Amino acid sequence: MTRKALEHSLTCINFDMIINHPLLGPRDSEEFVYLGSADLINRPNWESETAIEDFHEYQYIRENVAGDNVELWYHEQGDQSWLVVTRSTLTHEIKSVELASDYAKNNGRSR
Amino acid sequence: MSNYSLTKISALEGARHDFDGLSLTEIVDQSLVMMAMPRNKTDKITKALNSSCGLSIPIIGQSGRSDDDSITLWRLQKDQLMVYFPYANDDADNYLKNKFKAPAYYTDQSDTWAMINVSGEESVNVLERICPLNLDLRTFTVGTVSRTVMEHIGTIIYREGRDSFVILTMRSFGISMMHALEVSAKNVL
Amino acid sequence: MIQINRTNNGLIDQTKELSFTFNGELLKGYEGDTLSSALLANNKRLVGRSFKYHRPRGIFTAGSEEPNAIMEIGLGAYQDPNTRATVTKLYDGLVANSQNHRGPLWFDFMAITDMLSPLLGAGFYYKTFMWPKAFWEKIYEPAIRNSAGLGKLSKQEDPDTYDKGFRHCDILIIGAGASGLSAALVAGSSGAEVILADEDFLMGGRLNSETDEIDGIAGHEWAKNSVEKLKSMGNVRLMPNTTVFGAYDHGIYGAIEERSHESRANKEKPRQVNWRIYTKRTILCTGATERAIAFGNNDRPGIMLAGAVRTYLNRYAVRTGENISIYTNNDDGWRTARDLNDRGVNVVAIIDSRKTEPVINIEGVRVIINADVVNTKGRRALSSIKLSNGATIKTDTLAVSGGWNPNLHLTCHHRGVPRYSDDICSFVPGESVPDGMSVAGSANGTMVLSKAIEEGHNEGTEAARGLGYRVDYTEYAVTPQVEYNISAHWSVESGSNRAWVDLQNDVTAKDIKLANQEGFKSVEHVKRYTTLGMATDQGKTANVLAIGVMSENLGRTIEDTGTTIFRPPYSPVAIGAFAGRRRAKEFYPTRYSPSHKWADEKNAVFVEVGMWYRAQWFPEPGETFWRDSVDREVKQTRSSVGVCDVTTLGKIDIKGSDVSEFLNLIYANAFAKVPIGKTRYGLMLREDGMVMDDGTTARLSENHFVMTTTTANAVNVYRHMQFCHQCLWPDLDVHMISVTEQYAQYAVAGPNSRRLLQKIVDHEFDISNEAFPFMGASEITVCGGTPARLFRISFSGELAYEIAVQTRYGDSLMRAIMEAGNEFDVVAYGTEALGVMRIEKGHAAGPELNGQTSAYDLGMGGMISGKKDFIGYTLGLREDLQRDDRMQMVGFKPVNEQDLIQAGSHLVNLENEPTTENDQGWISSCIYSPILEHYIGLGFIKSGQNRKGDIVRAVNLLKGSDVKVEIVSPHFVDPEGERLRV
Repeated sequence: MTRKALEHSLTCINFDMIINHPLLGPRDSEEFVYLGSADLINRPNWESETAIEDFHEYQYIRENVAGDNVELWYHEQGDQSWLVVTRSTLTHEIKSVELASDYAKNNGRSR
Repeated sequence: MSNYSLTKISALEGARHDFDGLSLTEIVDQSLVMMAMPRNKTDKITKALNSSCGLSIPIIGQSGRSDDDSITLWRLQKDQLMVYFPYANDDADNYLKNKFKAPAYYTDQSDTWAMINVSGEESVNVLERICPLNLDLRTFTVGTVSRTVMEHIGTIIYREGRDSFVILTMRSFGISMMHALEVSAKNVL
Repeated sequence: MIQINRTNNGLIDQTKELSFTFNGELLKGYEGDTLSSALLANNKRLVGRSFKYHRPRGIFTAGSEEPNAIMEIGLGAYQDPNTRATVTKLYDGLVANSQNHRGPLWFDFMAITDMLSPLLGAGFYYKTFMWPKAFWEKIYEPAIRNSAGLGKLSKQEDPDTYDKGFRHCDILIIGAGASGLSAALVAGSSGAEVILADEDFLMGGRLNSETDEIDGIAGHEWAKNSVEKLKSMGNVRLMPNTTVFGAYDHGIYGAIEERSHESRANKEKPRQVNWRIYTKRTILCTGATERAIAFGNNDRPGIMLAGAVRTYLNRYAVRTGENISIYTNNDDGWRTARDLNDRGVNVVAIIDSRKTEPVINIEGVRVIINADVVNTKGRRALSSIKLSNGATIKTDTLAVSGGWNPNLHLTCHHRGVPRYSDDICSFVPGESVPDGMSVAGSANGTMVLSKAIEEGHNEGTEAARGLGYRVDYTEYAVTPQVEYNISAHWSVESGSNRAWVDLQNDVTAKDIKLANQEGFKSVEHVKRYTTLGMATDQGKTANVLAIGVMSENLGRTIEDTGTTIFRPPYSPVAIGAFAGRRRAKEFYPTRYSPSHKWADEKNAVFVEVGMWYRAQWFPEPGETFWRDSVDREVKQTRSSVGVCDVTTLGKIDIKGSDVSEFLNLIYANAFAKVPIGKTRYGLMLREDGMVMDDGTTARLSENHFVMTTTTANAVNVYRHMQFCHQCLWPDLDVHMISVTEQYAQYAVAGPNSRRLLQKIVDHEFDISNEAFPFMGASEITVCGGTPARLFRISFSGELAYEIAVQTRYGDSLMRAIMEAGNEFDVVAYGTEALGVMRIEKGHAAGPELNGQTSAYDLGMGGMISGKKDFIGYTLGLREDLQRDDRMQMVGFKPVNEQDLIQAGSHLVNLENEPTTENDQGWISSCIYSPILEHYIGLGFIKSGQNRKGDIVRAVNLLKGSDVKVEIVSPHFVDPEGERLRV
């Protein structure tokens, strides 16, 4: 590891982001666990004829977004809610945060 | 009947540490029960809590007290209530179920947590070394409750008075949390 | 011992004398001194040797930008290298030593490198030590490391302690100089929560170094009064000694509070506190740092920045010489001459590079306009300077000012790019500063004091109003307007004399020129090629000067040349401060299980499993080797009964009307119809079809289930289940909570386990085989009415139970079980015996569930339900996951029963060499079976399930073992599972 990289990693270990939790207000990202794209909410239908292809896409194919990324964070050291966070990968600006359960229901996961 | 009988011990065996302006004391006389609120039952639960002991469901991050001040409700998440109350027997969940008569799922959590009271005028100065939350009295008012992480340990913090906090950590972490508080006290005081 | 350079007054307490040593010499200073001011008071002009050429160097600045006066402070393990004397507050007993010389400081044997300097220019290492390659590691690198480098580490563990902390505010004001105080006064008056942080122990910034009047009183008095006023406000927190070193995302700032003076008096106290400050608005009032001008031999002790000369004079009552000259390209340099003259110090000459009228008229001082200093003389300290007009002037101190650079570092921590200002000939903050930050005063390029105060006030007002606070306080301090004019002047043609740009890294104007000529045109490349700006001072006095020199070389504008990227930290931070108190045993917390105290009394040997401490084995008297204990524990359990604390396994309480449906979705095997009072083995897959975890789930009532997970995956499984519920099936009525810690749970295993438990379980509960068969689950009472849960499950393969009581009774239950088991010679067993028995039984665990194994690979394909959707179903059907030649789990035993099989061995066919191409698989778990009396292993081998009886080689090249093993069923003990059903 170069000296600069070491300095960088050392200074980044400690410093996080602030996620504005819809129920709890601003919280340090240290309380959260990151999962990945919110596309994981759109789990395909297992009985579809194209199920294997659909699941392959669902599991492995991700946009590498330079800009707003819609992603899942889990408030593990908090209220244990999964959140859908819209975050710019360029600036770390967080544009919106909502409960994943609401997002899921609005995106067809209700029965 | 079995020929044996069991005796109980608390997580920290009643530990207490005093400093100038600060006391760290294990809380041994309280029980904690989680009430999960099933879908579409919130109204019934609200009514039952109110009629049984004058409790209302607080907003998330806040707490509420019963008429006689003995029962405290902590609202830490959407579909759950934590009930913190003085009770020593082994059936805290059933006791509340019968008392509230509210259609919720009750799960005893009394032994899940080590409970430590941090009190004294130096409380905030000592806690700010490990607690990432803003404990300013105007922000973290008396009655505020929150879950966070301190020294890698998931922790619930409840302000029961201006200079008095209840700190809960998973029971197996209790000794580490007490140690973290003592180190803070030694560093600050 | 007399402080010969000390004058009167100053912002120090001359009634409080402090003693310290420098290179072993006992010296005196005063309360309020820094180490550097005390050294100068004692006329210590030579304080160190330079990094590369071992040139004599003296104190150059009076602040955190210091390139030369870096020292080793403290003794023994407390010794801290590379400490800037200019920011080290003097305390009684301070021990300082100069660095980077062999032999005494005044005669450094390594100074010979200075004569070799023509060989050591830019890129020297890259060019010279390329050949022969083999020489690098053994000869070149050690030699270079020996001769270069700065201070020495003590090579002992750092005995100091460090801490961290968290603070919150509405408005963070960084820097407590004129503009910072002005901002704080108005922001504080609004009622906003304000933190005012300053790296100095005395707030006031440059006001403490200057003679300006504010509101009719001395500037430092005004600063002191303002600080008092702020202290009296309940909503303002002052943080002196605190360097804000980084601007992170969303209003998070890193700050180091220096408390060495306190920790030296009481070693229990932390030396530094690493604060994380959360703020809504930030006002950057960090002031400016002076730069030099590059001219021939401009590095001798006695050549200092002009502003530093004023700081030593006005703040510390120290004259830096007897006959002082000034060399400047701006108005500010003239103030040094004025202040010195006012205090009766002889000013020899003022040399201004500009064609200008005298800025200040000072009686009896020689003024030389439109001239440069081109060379200097003096072996260990300055004795004379030579001017471009040919004149030579005898002088012992040269105060140099090349202008002031705004301290805009923190504006760039989010990749903001500074803008060049012709007005001040330096960079000022650009458009893009971190969200919520504004800049005021000279940090913003506002070099006129009266305007800086106004700007601080305005930014303070705006920040408070922006947050909804009312601001009634509209007055701000007034001071006479003093202009600041400058014309750009970077370097002087100095012929063959070296003109230093970066004093700490020994980079000269010529090095930069050479780099430019060799094609390094980007400022980032020049930095790395010449090492400019890379030392502990990060080029604070050097960088802008170097950019000026570069742009002249390349015929570009300064704007086009640009700056290097500013990254945290602003000034050096000890690694210990990032670790805080998380060192050694406190790297992470420790979890103790309910039987810990009892196990400790029984002399258990503990092992860390994640954060848990678990008993590994329980040595009995006379047992000297760990396996003596483990073999005994296994044999005793299999022949009679053993007890093991399994509390650490994850336990999740699940309630709700849709739990069956939910479990059916997250487990690969059928879960829709588990009867009440039964427990079922559950196999959990990831969505990609690989095994995630396994455990058991019992149904205690219609809507109440309790799940167990492995110890290692307890947190992950709970998180995964929350994901499945909230994100995939949010309508299901399912409520989960971890009850891992609510219950102390013990495995009681062995043919006598039922007889033992019948003494513990209250008699109204029938636990006979008929009433409570294999996979039973029930809520019962024990020991006279204590509520408990009983599960008839087995990991060991024996008749076995797991019994759970509320954790409050955990210690007591363990003692009761051991007492009740006395008549059966009950044994407590630890994680080693647990592991032995699960391998004997052929249960997959952590080494087998490695994230690359499917249920088929583990021989559990038959469990997979084909009639339902579940996590991992579809992708688990992929052809490649079902192929017969995948690595499949089987058992192994040595052909020669005396042979030891090593875990981690790779498997190759008998006729093949042990190479990667021939690799057939590996041994994942391996133990000595005291039942079979030879080693056995579990592992993976291609097409393993069809190769039983084959003989292969198990080779472990690291441990030098190569044994023949036979592929067998993984179920070594009781393969039919008869014992657990009796």
